[in-house]
Amino acid sequence: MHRLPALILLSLLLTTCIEPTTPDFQLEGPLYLVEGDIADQPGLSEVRVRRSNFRTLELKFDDVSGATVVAEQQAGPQVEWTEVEESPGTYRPPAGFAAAAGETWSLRVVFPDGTVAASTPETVPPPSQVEAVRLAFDQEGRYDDDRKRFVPIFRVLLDSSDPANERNYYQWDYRYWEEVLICLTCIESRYRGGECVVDNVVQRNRETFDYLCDVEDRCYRRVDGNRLLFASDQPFDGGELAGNPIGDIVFERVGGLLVEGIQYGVTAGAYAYGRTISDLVIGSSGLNATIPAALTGNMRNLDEEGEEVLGYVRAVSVASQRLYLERTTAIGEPLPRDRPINLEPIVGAFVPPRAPCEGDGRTPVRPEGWPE
Amino acid sequence: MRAVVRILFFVLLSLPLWTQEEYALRLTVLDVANDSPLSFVSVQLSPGSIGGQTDAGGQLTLRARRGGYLLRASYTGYAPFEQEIVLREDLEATLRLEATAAELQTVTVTEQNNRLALERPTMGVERLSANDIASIPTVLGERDVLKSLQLLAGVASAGEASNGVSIRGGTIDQNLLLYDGAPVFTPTHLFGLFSVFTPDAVGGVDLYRGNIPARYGGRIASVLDVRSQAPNRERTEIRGGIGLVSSHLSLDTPLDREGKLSLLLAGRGSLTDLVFPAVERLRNTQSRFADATLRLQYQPGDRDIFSLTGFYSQDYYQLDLLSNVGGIPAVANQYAYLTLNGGVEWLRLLDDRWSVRSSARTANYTPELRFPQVDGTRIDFQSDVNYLLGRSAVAYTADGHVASLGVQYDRYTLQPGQLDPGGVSGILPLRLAKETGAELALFVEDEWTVSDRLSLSGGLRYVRYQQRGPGERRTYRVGEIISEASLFEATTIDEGALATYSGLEPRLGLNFKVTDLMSIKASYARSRQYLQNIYNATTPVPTSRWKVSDNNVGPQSANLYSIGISRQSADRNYFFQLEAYYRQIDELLEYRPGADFFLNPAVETDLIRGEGRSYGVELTARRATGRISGEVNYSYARAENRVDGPTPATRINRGEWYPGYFDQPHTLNTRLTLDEGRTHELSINLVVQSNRPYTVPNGFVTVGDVPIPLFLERNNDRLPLYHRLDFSWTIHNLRRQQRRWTGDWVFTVYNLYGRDNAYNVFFQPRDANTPPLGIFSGSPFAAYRLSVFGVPVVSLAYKFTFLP
Repeated sequence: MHRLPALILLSLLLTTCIEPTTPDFQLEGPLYLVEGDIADQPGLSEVRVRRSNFRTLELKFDDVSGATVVAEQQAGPQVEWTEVEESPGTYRPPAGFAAAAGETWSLRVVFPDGTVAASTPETVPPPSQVEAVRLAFDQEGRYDDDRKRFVPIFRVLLDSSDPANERNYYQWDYRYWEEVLICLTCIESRYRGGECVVDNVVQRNRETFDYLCDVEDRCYRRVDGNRLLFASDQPFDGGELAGNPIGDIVFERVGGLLVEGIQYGVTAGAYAYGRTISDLVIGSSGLNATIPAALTGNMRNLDEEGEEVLGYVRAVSVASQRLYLERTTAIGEPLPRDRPINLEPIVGAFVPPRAPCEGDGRTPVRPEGWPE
Repeated sequence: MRAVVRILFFVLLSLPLWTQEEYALRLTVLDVANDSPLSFVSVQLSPGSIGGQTDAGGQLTLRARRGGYLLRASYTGYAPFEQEIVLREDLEATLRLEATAAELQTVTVTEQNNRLALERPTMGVERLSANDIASIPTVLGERDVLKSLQLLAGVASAGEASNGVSIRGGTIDQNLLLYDGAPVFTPTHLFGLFSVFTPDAVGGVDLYRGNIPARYGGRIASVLDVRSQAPNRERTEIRGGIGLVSSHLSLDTPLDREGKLSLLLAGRGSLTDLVFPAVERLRNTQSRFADATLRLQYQPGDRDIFSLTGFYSQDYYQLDLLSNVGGIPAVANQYAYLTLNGGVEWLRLLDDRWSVRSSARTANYTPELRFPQVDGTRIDFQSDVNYLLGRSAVAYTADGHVASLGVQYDRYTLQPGQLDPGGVSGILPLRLAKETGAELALFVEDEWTVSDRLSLSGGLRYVRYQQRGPGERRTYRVGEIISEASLFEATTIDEGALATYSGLEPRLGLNFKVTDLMSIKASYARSRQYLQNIYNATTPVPTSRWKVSDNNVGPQSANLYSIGISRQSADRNYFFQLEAYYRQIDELLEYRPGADFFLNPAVETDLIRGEGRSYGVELTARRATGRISGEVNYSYARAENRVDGPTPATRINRGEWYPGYFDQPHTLNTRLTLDEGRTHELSINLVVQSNRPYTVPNGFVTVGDVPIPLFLERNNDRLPLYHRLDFSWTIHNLRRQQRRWTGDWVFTVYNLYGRDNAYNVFFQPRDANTPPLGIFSGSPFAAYRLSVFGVPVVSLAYKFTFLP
């Protein structure tokens, strides 16, 4: 539980060193991976179905289209999910679908090759309660190893409450949006025909050009925290958990910032699975690494001799709160830019193209909670 | 039992027999193992009633008329000494006494002890004296017991930063670690870099990794018995030293004129906090550690010795928040560990043959995790181990026997965890149920020299263990996997036994001298372990939880079989030993995937049981005499586990044998010392060993957008070969003057040629911040190799002795 601290302490105190090395694998045969949530809020249920393609070191998963995905409520209705057209391998229930607390659901998947898998039933936990999300600024909040300096951060703090006299399990995560002006950067190249094209002159001069977003109004970029923070309510059963730090956002630029703090109520099985994942990612890196654990999820091939099916389909309750903050220099000093913005110059009648507001979380759609 | 090991006698002159003048016989009595003076040794000249006892410096002067005498010296725990002398003028003599099996049962690294190794039925026993430890090159100039032991055959660690050692492939908690008779639960500072034993206080270390004597029990791999030095009864000495990481100081002094009461007080403190502000990255980091040893000895007469011992060790670290523990909010990680041990001992010499030794000791260990909050408040998580130990044994040494009979009672109470909210709203105070274990042990042992060629040792230990109330006894439905879902009943029991185990633990040894220079040995030992450290990692950390055996988690047990052959060269300069062993372990502890013991009231649901086996061959070649001395140890050692549960979650590696966490097949340790004899001592170590097993992924999965390595088996690969060369140069008392202040400079280079030994290889998901390195070959993971001392570590330390 304190592998990383030990590592950091020793790496600077002594002569500890960490060097990149080629990842080694002992690859097993192909496997199906099914992961997703059956949520208690409309629009949040989703599952991804993929198949491994581990033939090269560049391990990949291929999306699996054409599967039959059915959510089954114990002693209740079956709901067929459909594949999302613009996102192959992703399946969602009909609009408006929401599981209710106390309902027990499982997911059945029939793959195109006839393999049938099902998840162990999960009961939707009671609704989560998030009272507020807050931001606390710290000019020297944490040390950034890449920048080799302390950086200013906004700590994302969550205030939530927990039902008393029952064991509850949570995952916390966050995401945020900020306005972006630059939608593409071409290193030693120019943006032409929808991509960065190498240009000899630019390459010789080692120039990097930035391109403005092609939007009428504003372009927003969403950044997911992807935090693997899991906890049981054992230390705070029935209490109000105030100021729970669930992440931080580096103060890189002034301007608007919309933050969402999310609390997932999860089952005991999903909590154990999530904690294992957290250990594998966070706990493997130090002087006293966690023993690697097999990811025993709740998806199973109904034919035990058949192809391996892994993954976890959770039944979750979701609660979140959003907070908008105008970041100004009155709050603190943002990080200096690595380099100034360098727009490709206008030459005569030539006006450099603009890059679309898409990809890497960009969207022209104003997120809910962002002031008009 | 065998008596004297070594004597150096210098007869100076002879005088005519007719004179009636008295002559002085000046004696110095030393422990052969480390040349430390032995006080209170009874010495007699016969005929006549001339006798006395040595002082704190091991010295005694007797006066007698000229004539022939039989000189006898005896001291409990040491073999009696007899020598005929002719006193014709003033005489000086140095007597070196050898510890007997009852006291130490060790093989020391000396010419004479090589000879004893040929004759005694003990196996797998090693001793390091304070001098041995001081002469071994170490990291940053810190003398270190555990690091020194790792040069012996069959002793390994998880690397440079390991909170203990592995003996013959066993896990770290399978070793009983005693300091002045009391158990130590966290033997290292700075996350495993340094041993906690106060450098100026350590007198010697005995390691029993084979035929563990019957007076020890409770662990299945080894016993490591560290002892502090006996205080000086004659003169005051102040010793100290300054090193890069810590400095130490000790006071060794008599407290009264007669020397009946004497004191050793030694302490060490770290200086690392002074360094941190100079490094930008470490501005928020704090690191402090300290330890101290106290030994007070009172000898009112010639038949009683009372001693009071104490040991303190404390660590404190603060680091930027890097890991979330149990979902408890925090803005930084703080750790604090405290050890407070104490004990009293009374040794009563009944006569030359019989003695009684009784002791009472206590050990308290309190690790703490602290969770500072944004507003300055703090949540604390604390656990503790309270250990009480009482023991009394009668010893008999005569007629070819060294025997003892004793009783021991151990009682340990664990507080697995309590959470103090410290005023933080929403956080509840929590306290897990205490666990109490009690062991009542009866033991008898005898080392019997049957003839010049044959000696036998036999021991029997009977232990009755009980888990005592108050506590909760949880029972699970028969035939089902232990899990939260299969819990049948949880009963709170206020007092009495919750679970009981008992059994005999025989310890047998045989030594047969084939020739004067060669002997063969065989031994068998059975042992059980009722107190275990549980941790879901390669090695435990100081906050890892301890667990008593209960109705769900039975004791681990081991049977160890050993055979060996010892051979000494005809000129007695070289010694060779070959030992082979096989250990079989039942009820081995393993962990379910994702096991978590933090604030877990039912840890048995995360534990799985299996079996283990370890086997190997250890070869030692040694030269202990002359200016160039040295030792070469080679071990072939395997350690394997098997866990074959009924479900995927309770089965590891498909239920087949897999390498244990300390399975390191080949180890070669070489140590060479050049002692110029007066001022300079040079020493080098070469260590070459198979590195420990680790696990590489079998693929990956993703959760959200985060790639997660997929593991379907454990320990399926091995880290690259480990090797390093160390160098040490000690300059004793540079000016070569007998002064009140003398100082030694110790220059060490650890990892002389800068071998970048891998300590761990780990995988991290690649994201926008991961450097785009070709070495990752497009993999979704970045792999990193971590090494602790990847470059030569040079240090210079100064040690001094001051005689006020």
